[in-house]
Amino acid sequence: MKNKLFFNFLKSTNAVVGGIIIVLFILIALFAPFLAPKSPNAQSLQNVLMRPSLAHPLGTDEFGRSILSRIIFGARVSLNIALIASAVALGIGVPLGALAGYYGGALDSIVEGLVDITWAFPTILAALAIMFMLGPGLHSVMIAVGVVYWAGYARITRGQFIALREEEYVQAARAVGASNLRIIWRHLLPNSLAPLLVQLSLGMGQVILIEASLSFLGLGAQPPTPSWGSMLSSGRAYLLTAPWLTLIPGLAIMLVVLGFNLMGDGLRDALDPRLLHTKK
Amino acid sequence: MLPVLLAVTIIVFSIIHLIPGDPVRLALGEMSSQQAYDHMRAELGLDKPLYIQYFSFLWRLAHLNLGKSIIYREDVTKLLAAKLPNTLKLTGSALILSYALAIPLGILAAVKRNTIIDYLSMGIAIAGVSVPSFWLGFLLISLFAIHLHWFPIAGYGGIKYLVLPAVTLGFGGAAIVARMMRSSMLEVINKDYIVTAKAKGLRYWTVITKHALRNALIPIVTLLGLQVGWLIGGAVVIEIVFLRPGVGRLIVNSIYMRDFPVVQGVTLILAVTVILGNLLADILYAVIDPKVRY
Repeated sequence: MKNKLFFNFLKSTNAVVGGIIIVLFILIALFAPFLAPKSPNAQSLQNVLMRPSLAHPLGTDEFGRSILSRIIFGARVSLNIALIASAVALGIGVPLGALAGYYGGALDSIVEGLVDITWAFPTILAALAIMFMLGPGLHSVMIAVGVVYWAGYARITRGQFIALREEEYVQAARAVGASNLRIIWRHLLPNSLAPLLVQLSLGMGQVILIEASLSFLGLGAQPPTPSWGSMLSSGRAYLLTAPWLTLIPGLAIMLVVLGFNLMGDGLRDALDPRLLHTKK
Repeated sequence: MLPVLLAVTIIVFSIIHLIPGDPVRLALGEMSSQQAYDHMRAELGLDKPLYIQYFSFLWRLAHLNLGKSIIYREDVTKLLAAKLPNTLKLTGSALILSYALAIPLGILAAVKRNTIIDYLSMGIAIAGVSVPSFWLGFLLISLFAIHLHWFPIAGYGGIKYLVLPAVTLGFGGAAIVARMMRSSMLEVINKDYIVTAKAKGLRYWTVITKHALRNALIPIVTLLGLQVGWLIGGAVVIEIVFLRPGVGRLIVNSIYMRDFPVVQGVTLILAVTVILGNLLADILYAVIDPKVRY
């Protein structure tokens, strides 16, 4: 089954392209200190707002900092946030969705109610309200975005658990005396991972977009942290004279989000035999 | 819907109480006098027990009173009445634009499946959901305002001020709808009744528009509820990019200034708008799908 899934995944061009983009960005983030030509915060007032050239491959910003170095280190910020915020969202959403789906009844109604309430707030607005309480900064972004995105994971886990809880292998486990916790942990959760993985891939792209938006609004990464969103924000003052200040960080955001979206799409196709069939 | 609305009021009410530290000190600054401090505490009703504060909050809401802005010294309702129409105008135009663009694109992609048209339109759609809206805004400003001078760079006025922000906001929305429209259409055109319609000799496009489209539109209508929330959230950022005086700019400024009543008011009103958008989608869903009757 796993081999078939992997094979289906490889058959999807989208998934492979997305996967390559993500792996590339992960490598850039991991080896940032070796890849960046300069420190991301090293200022050089002689080299302010330089056009892209051999000496400054992606140009320099208003403080003479290397855009290339800041983009490379910015990958760390974006991927870190995507990882931690998604972990927060998974950490809240999966257990709640699992309990709601497995036990049903009042617990299910409460979790469903909480999901509806969360979805009543537009994502960025909810994140803004949480940021208002926590104050600006990357840690606040991680918590705010994680708290905002839990509901999607809860819905998916709940749906999977409802679909699987009456399966024969679950009944068999129950019959041999397995505890509820064991059934949830050893049987239902592993079988619910595939759709969660799709959601995780698509969700990580969304998290990066929200972080960029919050940093653009001045509430996320604080100077001099090289975040792509805040680079875009400070670059907009130079839209006329130095358009590369906005163009390059925007491209970086788009590329990495595109990678996650392509991978998520590819995973979904690989998991859904119907979709594979219709594509033929 | 009512329990969700009530829960939303509790959350919005709690914003002021969940801030670490004393909200009044944060708003006034550490150097403020005791007299000013006591005055604001009383004005915000923070000197009363929590449950009384909540019920008086609900009572004021029932009378459309959202309190007074600390910074602007004006009623929040008044501020919202001035700004909300601008935001709704932007989100409404973006919504119409996104559906007008996405539905034909999605249909075309499904009908011309696995052709260059399909790949191209879905390529644009996936790029649309990946592009940061504010960046797209800058690109459009660069091209259409700075270089071509077709539209103003930013600001607020007639319809020409609305075009670039609405396109920016609507593009992401259109991408989501087009992808959904394509997969929904693909699902429908493989159904037996479509095969029958084709077999009895109807013209292909008649089958698509008369038989397939109505059923394929059902998930798209459900998406409308989600789109309202998505577009309203997106409008917050787009208003900053295009310097439009809407509730997005109002809330961001109020967050910087620690203006609690405004943050509460905007959060509440936008959440209520999303809930109403979902309700509208549910009603439309019942209209379009005869199987669903509430």
